Amino acid sequence: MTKWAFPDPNNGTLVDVTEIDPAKIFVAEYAAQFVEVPDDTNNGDVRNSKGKIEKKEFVAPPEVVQEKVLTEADFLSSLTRDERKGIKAARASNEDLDDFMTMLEKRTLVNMSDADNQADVKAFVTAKLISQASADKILP
Amino acid sequence: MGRRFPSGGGQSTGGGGGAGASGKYNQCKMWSSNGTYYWQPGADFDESVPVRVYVWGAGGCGGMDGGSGNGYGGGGGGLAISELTLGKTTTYTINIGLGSASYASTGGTSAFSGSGITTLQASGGRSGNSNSDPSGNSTGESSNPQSGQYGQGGVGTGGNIVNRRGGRGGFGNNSSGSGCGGGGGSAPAPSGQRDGHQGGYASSYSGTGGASIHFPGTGTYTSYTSSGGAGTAGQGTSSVSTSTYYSYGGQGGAGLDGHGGHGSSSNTYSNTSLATTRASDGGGSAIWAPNMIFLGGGGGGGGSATYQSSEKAGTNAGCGGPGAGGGGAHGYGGSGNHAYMLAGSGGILGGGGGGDAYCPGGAGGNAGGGGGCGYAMYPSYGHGNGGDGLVFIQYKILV
Repeated sequence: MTKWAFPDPNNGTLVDVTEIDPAKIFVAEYAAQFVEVPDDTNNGDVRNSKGKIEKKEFVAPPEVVQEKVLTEADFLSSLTRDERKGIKAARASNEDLDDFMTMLEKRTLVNMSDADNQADVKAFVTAKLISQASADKILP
Repeated sequence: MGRRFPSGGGQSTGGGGGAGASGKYNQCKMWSSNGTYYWQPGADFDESVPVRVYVWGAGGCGGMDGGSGNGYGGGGGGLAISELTLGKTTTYTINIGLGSASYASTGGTSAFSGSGITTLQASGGRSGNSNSDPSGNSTGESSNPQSGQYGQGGVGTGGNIVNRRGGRGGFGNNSSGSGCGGGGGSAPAPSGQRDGHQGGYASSYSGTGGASIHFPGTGTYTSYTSSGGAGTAGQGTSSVSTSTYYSYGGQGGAGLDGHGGHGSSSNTYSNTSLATTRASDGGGSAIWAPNMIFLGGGGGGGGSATYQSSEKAGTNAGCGGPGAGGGGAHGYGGSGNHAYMLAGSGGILGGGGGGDAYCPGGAGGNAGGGGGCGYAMYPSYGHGNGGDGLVFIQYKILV
């Protein structure tokens, strides 16, 4: 089987790939610009300056990583009752905790895929405000 | 009453047994998807009545591909029209060009050929990131008025009635921050009286409407706006402002027998999406008949998007009716506070709408150019594809 295609003079992209002699389909001036191409050539492949056919590349998009965003209710319900009581009591003496909880209350959401927020939660574990088990429920 | 067809569709669609308007023909046939087809008129064909043949090239696609390119819309395919004396037993070849899906390439060439006739063909529109000139001139032209531009329309060659040029894609710009997408150009109207129209010209952070067979796409008024697609009876409009509280899209242009799509609206307040009304598609119908071609679609409405802190609200743009352009889409802001929306596709022969950064352009209808996109994250993503070419014939059989 013989195949022909028209190479775009701008960049060599091949279009109008056909198994029929282009002189039988198109006007003569256009058909004269067709070149023979290998059987596996498809529209969109590129004929480079040396006449070699480069297959059109389809690059798979990267895997989408879903961000873990918790509402204030989701965040608090991941904690035990004692942890919630402890956080309430500790806010007055722990500026970082108070800032975190204030932002949570004002924005009503927290993005736990954010590295700074993850560091805050890990610090709360170190300070024994919440358990590692609770942190595991919160962190992605 | 003539037979009605939906826009786009099958490989070979025959019609007849009536007439959309009085005239010398009583049959018609359409080829509308990429490939090579053969047609023999048959024993009952009336050789004394020349067949009217319309050939449209395929549309170019928008000039964005995963962050590469320029965001222009694609050009519409060209048109060639002939009246040809055909033989009952001769087999004719119909080639339908493939709509472009490559941001720097071109739509395929469509053609009608066979023994004893002069081949007529129409080249495809250029994709938005291609500035190669097609060969040939529109009837009455001595040179190419679009020469050197991105997203040029294709042009007809060999037509003994008329040869026409497709409309250019509208301006767009590639930027992950302030990118914008131009609308797709339209193919020439079936009347062959003039060339196709240009897609809308985009401002930063915006998406514009596609062109219709009778009107150009409307450019966006300023940043963070969208425009509706052009209709067959009038241009679309652009929205004029957007804030962190509200956004609305431009209106689609009116159709000859259908409404333009209304623009969408999105409102937020204090992290809550209060009201979102989606854009509507253009109305209208198409008649492809032995003695009539009528495309009456309205343009698609423009999309909208806004955000309020962590809350994002938005809607997609609407699609164009037959012969009309799709609406443009915008997403508001850069990547961090962006809603991801879709531009509308064009109806048959119409251009697709353009999209803001991260908002893919709409596809062109048959022979229409695809919409551009201001920025896209992944390869092979972001542009609206061009529509496949189209061949339509009107002829007479003995009854």
